Amino acid sequence: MPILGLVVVAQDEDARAALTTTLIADSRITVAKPVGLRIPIVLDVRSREEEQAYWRALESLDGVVHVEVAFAAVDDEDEEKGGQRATS
Amino acid sequence: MQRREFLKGAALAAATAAAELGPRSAAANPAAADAYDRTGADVTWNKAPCRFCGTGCHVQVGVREGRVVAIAGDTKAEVNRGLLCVKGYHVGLALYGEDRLTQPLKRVGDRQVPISWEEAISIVADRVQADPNGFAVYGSGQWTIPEGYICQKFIKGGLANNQIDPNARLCMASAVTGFLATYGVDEPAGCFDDLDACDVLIMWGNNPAEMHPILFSRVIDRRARGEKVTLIDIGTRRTRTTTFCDHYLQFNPNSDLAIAMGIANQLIENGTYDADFVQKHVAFRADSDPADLFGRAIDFDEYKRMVSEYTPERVEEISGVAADDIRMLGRLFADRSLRITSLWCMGMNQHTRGTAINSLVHGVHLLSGHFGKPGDAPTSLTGQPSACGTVREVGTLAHALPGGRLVAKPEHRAETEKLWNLPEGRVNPKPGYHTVEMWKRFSTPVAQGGDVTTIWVQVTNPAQTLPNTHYLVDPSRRDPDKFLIVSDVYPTATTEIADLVLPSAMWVEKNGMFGNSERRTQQWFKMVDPPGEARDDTWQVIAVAAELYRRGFEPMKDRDGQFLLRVTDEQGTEVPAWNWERFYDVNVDRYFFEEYRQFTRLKHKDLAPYDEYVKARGLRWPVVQQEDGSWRETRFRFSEFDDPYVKPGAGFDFYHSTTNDGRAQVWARPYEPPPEMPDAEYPLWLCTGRVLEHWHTGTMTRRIPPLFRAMPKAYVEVNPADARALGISDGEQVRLSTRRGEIRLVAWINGRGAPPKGTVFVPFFDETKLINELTLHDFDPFSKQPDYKKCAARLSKAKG
Repeated sequence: MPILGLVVVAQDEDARAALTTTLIADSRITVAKPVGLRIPIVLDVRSREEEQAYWRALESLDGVVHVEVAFAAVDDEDEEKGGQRATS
Repeated sequence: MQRREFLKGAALAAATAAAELGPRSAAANPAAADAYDRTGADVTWNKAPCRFCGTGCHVQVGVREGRVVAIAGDTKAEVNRGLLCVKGYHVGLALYGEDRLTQPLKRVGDRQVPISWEEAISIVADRVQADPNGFAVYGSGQWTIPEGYICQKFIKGGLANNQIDPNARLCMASAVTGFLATYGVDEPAGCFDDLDACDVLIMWGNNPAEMHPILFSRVIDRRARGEKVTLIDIGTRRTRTTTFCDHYLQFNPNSDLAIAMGIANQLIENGTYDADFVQKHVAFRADSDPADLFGRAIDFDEYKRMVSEYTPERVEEISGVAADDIRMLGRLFADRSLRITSLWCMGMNQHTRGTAINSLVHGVHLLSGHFGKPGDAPTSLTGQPSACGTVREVGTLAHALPGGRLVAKPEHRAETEKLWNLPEGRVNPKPGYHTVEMWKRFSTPVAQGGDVTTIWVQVTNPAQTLPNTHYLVDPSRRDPDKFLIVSDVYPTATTEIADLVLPSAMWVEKNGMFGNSERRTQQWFKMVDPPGEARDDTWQVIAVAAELYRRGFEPMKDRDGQFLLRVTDEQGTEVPAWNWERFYDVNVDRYFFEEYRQFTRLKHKDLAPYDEYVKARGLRWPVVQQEDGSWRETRFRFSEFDDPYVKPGAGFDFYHSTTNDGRAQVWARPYEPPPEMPDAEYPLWLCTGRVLEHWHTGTMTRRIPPLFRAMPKAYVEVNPADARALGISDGEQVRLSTRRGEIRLVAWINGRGAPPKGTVFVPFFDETKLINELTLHDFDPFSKQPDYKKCAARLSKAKG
């Protein structure tokens, strides 16, 4: 169950306001006070698949310039283990 | 639950700190720096540079019960200021793929069977003794600085055959020769601070949005804050970077030389070059006959005559870039009120004219005076974390000695012999084989001149990354006289074909030091144990050398008959570092770094004592001790305002000038067509490269499930017009072939990258789709770096 600390960078102030509203509405996301156009969030998801889906969704939101990572916890017991050789 | 709340608190604190600091602000936030501690007392944190690219981001590594459990961007690190890219935050998982190599393996018939370390070390020693001159090491820009240094000493101070070369030959050798030909000394004058100050960022065949995303974010963040930064992408294929750019100038492969010459033409023709800077600090140069790296002196009139051919219209004809765009570039460089930074990486380096285009881009900056001020800089990037620190500075290239020295120079050999306490004349003046030549000879029978009989590969995967592998690698595997040893952490395309596999420790499973793309030397400590019997690469070399010494093998003795790779403690007592149980009795990295750092002053690449790097998030050389005893790094070389080696009043001083007069060299170098071009039989250009999710050959990132799922397979990007003409649909299996081989891939039309009509692109991260079976092994005549960016290819629908 990954926990990520992210920074969502908005395109402009209008986008920041709209994005903050959108992000707050999602129960998996905790939103901190924006700093300029930068919105700190915590993403708390159930699986790596969900994390990946969220990552893509965040990047594709209107008004997002890019998403940066500040923290990642990788140790939860039910977390998927690292992979084997991916040759098939 | 309490623990999870701790983690969420830490994540929120780190994200808030990163948002406050941003990629640009240099101000430290003491409260933010301690955010990691909110994870609770059972997690201990320590710093390390990221294992992946040459940016050199620092991470904080959280360890609990002997396992890496969390990764955070390091808010105290100037490079990344608390941020990481998608690969960086997964770096902890790179340790924990389920198929880590944990035992030495020896080939017996078609199988690789476990053996003891004692037997493995003995086998390597046997191979050395059987043919010392035919024993080579093929290393890496992922070697730590001490690892590379020890191998360097083993080969050049011990076996004295100079047969050591790194994979960095494949990624940045042309940048080295470009710097040497221009300034007489390697590595960038500027640093990443230029990205915070430039008004114009020109990316020459470069895709930092995917390959160096943290650096790119420093610029994008400035725009998000309302600053005006003009981004220009000069490339052969649209990438993620292109989407952020104000201008995209698409050029025909190999014709970037014409573009650079065209900018110079505009500066000269319009009288807008910086006459004062040129008069004081620049000399002119052109190719000599026979050609050598330093060419021949020419005067300004000859230079002017040579660039006069490259009118905007002529450049358009060669390159396909509109004449008006060439004029636009000329106007930008003519404007001294702007700060212009050029960035490049593999696009300019993996080029049979790589040295030429590198020197031309430096030349455009020098001619226009866009040099030596924050934001005004020509800067090459590296793809590996220590291509600069270990390869370029330690000198693990076949012709080099530590600290910018050359085996060919008697005084450099003498200095090296003195510092290594070697018998006079031990260091061989003849360079070893560069990478392509080394592997070519390894794949040639002994009776036909194939005098490299054993290669020991460390920290790299040549069966996937060498060009034209059917030619350079495969024949050796059918020759019983040739023996391949590979030290690595996971099974790879190279371990699979090896005769002996040695399991290695990786990243924070050992002490280490890297040197990033901006001359920043970084240090970290071992934090967790390697799995099974995996051991440090440094130990492996010391153990082999010690076994040879035990057998009385003379090359492993110094002038006094002592062990060549001897390690002593603080009291000067020898420590048996070859004994794994005793290896960490002393800090072997510290011991050899202190020895190595004595080499670094000759070329003004001064390094501080090891303990200074323990305290810092890296320091950029030259690091010079101040009167108060502190150590000061240098951000901008050759500029009086920052470089302590520039005399007051000089303004600028290129103090390693090849003309010994403090001047840099501005080159005129003509466009030449590439060695292979599309024709009737192979009508397409093939370009290869990397993707955001995977790091180089994917041996680590393909084992990280989220990254693997995000990009599971290599593909071929096809232009829609070409796809239509060939009747190929998106997602369809196709055959891609060149004169060297053929592979099957899935076609991706309108994918992440967009190649122009007549070009296809294939990434090289996928070991199941070895694109380098198809690439050319032709190389730049000076750097010996092969060209992976252009060859002729054919695409067709797959049948059956």
